[in-house]
Amino acid sequence: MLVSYLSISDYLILSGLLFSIGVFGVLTRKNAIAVLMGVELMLNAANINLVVFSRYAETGLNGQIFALFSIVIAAAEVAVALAIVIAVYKTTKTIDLDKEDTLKG
Amino acid sequence: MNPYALEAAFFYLFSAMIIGSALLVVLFRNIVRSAFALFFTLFGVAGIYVLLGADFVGVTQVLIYIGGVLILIVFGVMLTHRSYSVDMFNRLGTLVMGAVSAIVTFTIIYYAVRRAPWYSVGYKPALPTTQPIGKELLTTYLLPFELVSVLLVLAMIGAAYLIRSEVTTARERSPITKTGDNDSGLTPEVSSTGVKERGK
Repeated sequence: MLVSYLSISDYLILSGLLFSIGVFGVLTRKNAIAVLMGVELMLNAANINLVVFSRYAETGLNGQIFALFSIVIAAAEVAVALAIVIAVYKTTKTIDLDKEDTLKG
Repeated sequence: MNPYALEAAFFYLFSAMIIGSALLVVLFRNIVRSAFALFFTLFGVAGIYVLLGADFVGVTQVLIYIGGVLILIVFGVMLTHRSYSVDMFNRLGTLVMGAVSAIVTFTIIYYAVRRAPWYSVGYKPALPTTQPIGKELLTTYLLPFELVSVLLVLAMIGAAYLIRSEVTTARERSPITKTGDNDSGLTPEVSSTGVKERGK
């Protein structure tokens, strides 16, 4: 009998690694769009988890359908976030997050 | 060839692609290069989906993420082009704190994954998923499906509202509504400022 070389934990560790890289990007970038790219990496890591659980569980396709909904909501999120970034850019002429301190007390 | 070995080979190939290009996404100083590295990350994730037997999700990933989200991000980069030269990273202290946070996050996830007693169902054949997903979406998940489409419309209207042209607000701020009870001497001045705002 064949033995699978891959287990569920391999996929989960891959997605954990991708999530951590996204965390690093979100925390260290100054450019607002670069922060958005870090958020995209984290969202993709979560989607990998959903599809992996769908593959290794007996419950049919629920995980894949959740991943589809998640992809759609991520698309909506990116559209709104980029609109906010461009509105901020039109107002303050910069997207450097350290300089957006209008609300600072 | 042993199919499991083939699966493992493709898994490590796609993993190397995802992790390597994701590191480039967060480390490149030029944001355009980051966007191109993000392309390879998203493509690798689509490959992982196909490897997991989720062919429809994989194609959706290519269509929506690479065809939609990434193009939007590149447009955002180009529309805010004057910030190219902004130094992309914070000071060294923030960089170190970010690295520490990422490493701690990964360590927690790693130990949680390694210690959990995963229940394995063994080998499941990878069947085509498009037809069952379509049936599920229109029966079991009909309400979330409609809700998410309404949400998408709302998000698009919201995005268009947020970045609408400044002409509208400038005309709202100008006293054009008060000209009705005044004499007509004001009207040319107001219309001229309106034209000026539109020209801007």
